[in-house]
Amino acid sequence: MSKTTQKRAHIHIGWIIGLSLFPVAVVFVCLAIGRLPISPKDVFLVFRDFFAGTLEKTTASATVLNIRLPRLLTALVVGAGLSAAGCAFQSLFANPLATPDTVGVASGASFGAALGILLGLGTIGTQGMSFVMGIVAVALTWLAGSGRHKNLNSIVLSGIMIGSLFSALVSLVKFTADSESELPAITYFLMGSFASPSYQKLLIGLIPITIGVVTLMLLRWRLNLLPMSEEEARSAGVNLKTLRIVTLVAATLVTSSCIALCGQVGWIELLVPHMCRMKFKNDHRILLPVCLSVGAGFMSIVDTAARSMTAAEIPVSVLTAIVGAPFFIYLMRKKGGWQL
Amino acid sequence: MTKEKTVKEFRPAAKRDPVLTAKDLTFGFGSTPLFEDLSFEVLPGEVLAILGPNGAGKTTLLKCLIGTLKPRQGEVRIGGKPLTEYRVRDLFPKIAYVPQKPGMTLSYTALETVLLGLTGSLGIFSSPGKQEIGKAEQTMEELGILGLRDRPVNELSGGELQLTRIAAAIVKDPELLILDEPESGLDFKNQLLVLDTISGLKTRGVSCIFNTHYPEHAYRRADRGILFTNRERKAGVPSTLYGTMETLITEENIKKSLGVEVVIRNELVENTAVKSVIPIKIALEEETNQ
Repeated sequence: MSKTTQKRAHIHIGWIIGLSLFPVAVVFVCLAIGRLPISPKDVFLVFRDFFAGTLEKTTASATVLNIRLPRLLTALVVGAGLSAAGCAFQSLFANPLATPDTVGVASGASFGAALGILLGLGTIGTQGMSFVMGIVAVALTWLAGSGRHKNLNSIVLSGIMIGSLFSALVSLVKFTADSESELPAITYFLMGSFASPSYQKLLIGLIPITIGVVTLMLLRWRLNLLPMSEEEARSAGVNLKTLRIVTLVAATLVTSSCIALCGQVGWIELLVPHMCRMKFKNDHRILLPVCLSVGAGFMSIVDTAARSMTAAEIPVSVLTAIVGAPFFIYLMRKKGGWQL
Repeated sequence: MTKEKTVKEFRPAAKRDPVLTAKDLTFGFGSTPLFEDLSFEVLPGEVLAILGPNGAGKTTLLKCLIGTLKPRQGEVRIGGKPLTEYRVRDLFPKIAYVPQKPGMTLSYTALETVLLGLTGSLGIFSSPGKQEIGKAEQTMEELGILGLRDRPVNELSGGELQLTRIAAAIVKDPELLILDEPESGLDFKNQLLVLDTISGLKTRGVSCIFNTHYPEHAYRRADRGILFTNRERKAGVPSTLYGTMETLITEENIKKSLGVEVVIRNELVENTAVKSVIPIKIALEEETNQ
């Protein structure tokens, strides 16, 4: 990757180094923040001892390794995954507003996950259900919005329709759920939270997310053809239909796995790719890795803020919106938005 | 008349197998076909112009030629092999297509846009490397647009954008270039730049099919042409005319095709025969019907 990017005038080497180090730096800082103050130096020492095999079981080391680290890693993975998927959806639908939220994937996946909880399917079952419903939702959106009179808005319009359809189904699941145990579980889950982290859950989610993200990364040059017309892509020698289906499945796999992992975080999949496009333009060779890095770092910061700003934890989706919306508006007004 | 001679000089004598053959093509969206039993061929280095009024089916015909639309009847062959037997990645090194309007105004740079034209020749997971960038720059240089290299295409002028899109099409050295109204909406100079590009490719043996609303351009640049005469469909009247430009561009044919009375003047400019077609008035219905 670095070979092609370095040759190009569009991304400075400083940005490459900075963006590569950004998530790592964020992890060290965020591991130090929390109710039990641990300095970044001590965090570093915990890691050194851990890898050297000389780790002593202290409160600090247990907090870092068993509580904060799995949570942060989940946030990193989800942030990176949702940003990459959001970026792919924007290009796929040739629409800056197309995100997992707006094309119905998020609602579909949430419905699947809620159904999984209701039926007591366990982690893998919930993941699978979430993915299946995500695919169903986006397929319905596509069918509804890409008829003969398709235009930029029809996809988002039909996405909103399908989204509300699945939101209604989520409500139905909640209505059916036992109000003592299942209902709170579903409700808290849907709010989006990294509060119950475990390495096992992360590992199960990591597999489909990695498959999806790696697929997108491998196809990153071809993703540039997605917003073009069928004929233009054909003329370049690429069968756009196949490319679209592969991208759709990969991005939906990532989104639904993220949702199964930590509920509907929201916003990040619109915000991060948008910000990255404003700065780094639309060549996915650069855009996609940048989205991964910025998304991972951003999500970690927001989650750390969510768990440590007040005594009680703020739902992370609340915070992404509160932080994200003004920042986004500022960027849009300053840079004049972006075009695909 | 001199036209035919100059054309013959241009044609390489050895390679005479047609690049594209269309046989008995029929296509229509409704019950009446837009064109019926249309047969023609394009030889190596030959330029074919397609003329006709708005909505006659010019773009539809092109879409049949690149395989995005399936003709109701008939067959298109590229290099002797039926179009339907090609896979996209095998067909499009041979032919290139430039639609009339880009699907979206994308903000890729001009170089990225041209590089995208080479995607089909890359491995599925590969990005363009030094070799591809060199090829893209060389093509841009030939079209005189290397200066636009790092400019976003949505900030280019109409002429610059069109040349960039043509560069993206010809960067893979196709045998046949298909253009949908390449010179529409451009000023005289940019029109000439686009048309000269077509003529330049012809001297290198690259064939070209282009739709146009300008009979003068068709006459001067094309060897043969197709004229849509399907404005008023009647039994026994062919929906299209196919032939040399000399036989095609006549006052009578243009009236039949466009429903406009024109005066055609023949001129000799720099030893080439050119025609100027001057629209006079809209033809009366009964006159066109006869």
